[in-house]
Amino acid sequence: MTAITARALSEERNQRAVFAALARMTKDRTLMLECWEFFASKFRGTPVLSVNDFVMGLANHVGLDPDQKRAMTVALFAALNRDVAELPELPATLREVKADQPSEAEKANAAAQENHSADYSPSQIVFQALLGDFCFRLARQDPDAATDLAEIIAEGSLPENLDGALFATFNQWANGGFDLSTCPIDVPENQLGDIMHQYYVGACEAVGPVTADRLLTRAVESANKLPESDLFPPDRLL
Amino acid sequence: MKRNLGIVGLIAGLGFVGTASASELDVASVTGLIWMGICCALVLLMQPGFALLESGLSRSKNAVNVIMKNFADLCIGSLAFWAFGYGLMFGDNPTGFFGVSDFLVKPEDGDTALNILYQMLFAATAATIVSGAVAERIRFIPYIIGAAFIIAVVYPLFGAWSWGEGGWLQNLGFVDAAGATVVHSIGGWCALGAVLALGPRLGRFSRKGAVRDIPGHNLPMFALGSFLLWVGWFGFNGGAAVQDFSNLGTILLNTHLSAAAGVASALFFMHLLKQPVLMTTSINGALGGLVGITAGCATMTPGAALLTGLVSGGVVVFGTTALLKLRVDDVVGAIPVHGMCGAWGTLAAGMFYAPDMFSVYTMVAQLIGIVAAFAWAFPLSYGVFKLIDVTLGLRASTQHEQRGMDYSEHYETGYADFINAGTTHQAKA
Repeated sequence: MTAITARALSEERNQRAVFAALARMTKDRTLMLECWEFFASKFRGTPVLSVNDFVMGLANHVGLDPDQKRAMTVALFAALNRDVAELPELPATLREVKADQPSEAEKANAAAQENHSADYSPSQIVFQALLGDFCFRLARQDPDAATDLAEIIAEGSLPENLDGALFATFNQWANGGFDLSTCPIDVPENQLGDIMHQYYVGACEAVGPVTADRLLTRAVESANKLPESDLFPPDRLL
Repeated sequence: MKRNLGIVGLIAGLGFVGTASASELDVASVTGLIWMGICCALVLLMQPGFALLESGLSRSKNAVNVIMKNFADLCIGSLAFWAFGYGLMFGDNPTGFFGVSDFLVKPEDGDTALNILYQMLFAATAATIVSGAVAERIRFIPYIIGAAFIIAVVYPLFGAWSWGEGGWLQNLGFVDAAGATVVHSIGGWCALGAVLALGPRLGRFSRKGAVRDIPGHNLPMFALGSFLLWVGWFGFNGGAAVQDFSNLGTILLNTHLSAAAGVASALFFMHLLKQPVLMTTSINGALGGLVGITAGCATMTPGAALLTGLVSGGVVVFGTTALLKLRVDDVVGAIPVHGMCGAWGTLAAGMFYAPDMFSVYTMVAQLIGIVAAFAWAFPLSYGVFKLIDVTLGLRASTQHEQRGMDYSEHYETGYADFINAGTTHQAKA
């Protein structure tokens, strides 16, 4: 067996083990996808999976309670000690959507990059990724809160000197449920930070500051994966 | 009642700082002096207690700012009290309302110096109470200005009424042995004024009226701070024993019993109201008990102290709930713990005043003192913080709230290697 084959086998076993452990820990598909997304982005390429590092990171990332942490740790240890053939196959949808292909946010970012990279600056591309991901996650987590956020934005919390047409675009995007693919990008560079901040303030009103902080952290992590983030770190919009 | 140490002139007169031999020392006086020194250290120990408590109950992105506020109001407040407050409180008081001498006070002997230090630390405690209530959204320099005003004017003027020689409340027979009203209620009502002038934290209350929890980042730190406060309280109340050293044991026992009863009561009421058994509320019950017993620690029986603590625990639970219904955002619960329990404890000191239990006259005097404290401290504090808001700007911008006060105000973060929502902006630095 070559080193490459051994590594591939190890990665396959890790993936199956994590999937099996997640399936034991929760039946909540949204949570499972979030957990898988975390695994795929941080640990999938690691031949030797540190259970402790992974579970601690996962707990911090998605907010597992102590019982879930314990269940995940026990299930993952058990799964990793089994032969790869004994572990359940990774579902094709999960493999396609989460393991082998980028997340929805990443796909939208990539699409935006392809369509606009010639037309827009790195700061605008990063802004779109950051704001889009932030609002998309909020809407997915709590559709009612997304409606509240849309109302708050419509009530005029965006900068006063924002162009009227652009204001309408933001409202349209909000009323459309904060779809990732239609997140506005053609925004003057000097207003990017202000707009991002107003959405954060709106999110604090809509879902509370603790959740808003958590969503923002994840959106920053997501935006940091863009090549443009090397030229314009997302933190500069915070 | 003036916190007269009762040892004025004894040490100097006996040659403690002079040339007399050790055999000439009055052992009781030296013991008193040493005890007061220990009390000073214990009261100072309450400052790290407050710092840990308040910082633990704040989010990680504000940890440094909270501790800085505690540090700064101790230091700036000490200077302000030495320069101005001590004279207002303990200077010659011909009107019964404020002192007119002893500004920039120069102690004539070691005893007076110790008294000044002890009073200075009490004054700093009053301002520190405000710091926790307004955490996470107040600008640093405007806060320090407000705290200095409290220590230099608000606290010592009320102190002159109740502890200053010839103060009008003292003349009425107002009983407050260690400052349930003078220190704690004044601090609590100043906190109420500051909180109302400042407004709640971003997102604390939804537009539809829901109350959102904003958990502290380190509850073990909060618990440790509370334990330190409990220990420090033995010095805070224990200083009252210097007038009658034989009473020291009762004072310390009363202090401990009341704190313990405060926790038991808070647990009971949380259970009764079918609330989760929160550590934060339980510990605030202990602090409520400590505040409650402060007025009557030297003049109550242990049974009365226990009863005072039991009621204090309930005051904390119901007071906290009432404030949330009124949409008042008090980060650490300073208003129920210090303001409300201080008021209750002062009334209890009159009701359970051992030499004359349930004396109507004493209870009326206590009520007058309680109302005077609120009528003096709350509107004045609200007005001063509003004035600061209009002139200098009191409230941090929402951008700074988002980034955290650590980074925005101090350019330092409490947990530099720990990346979370509050500290992601560090990369910008």
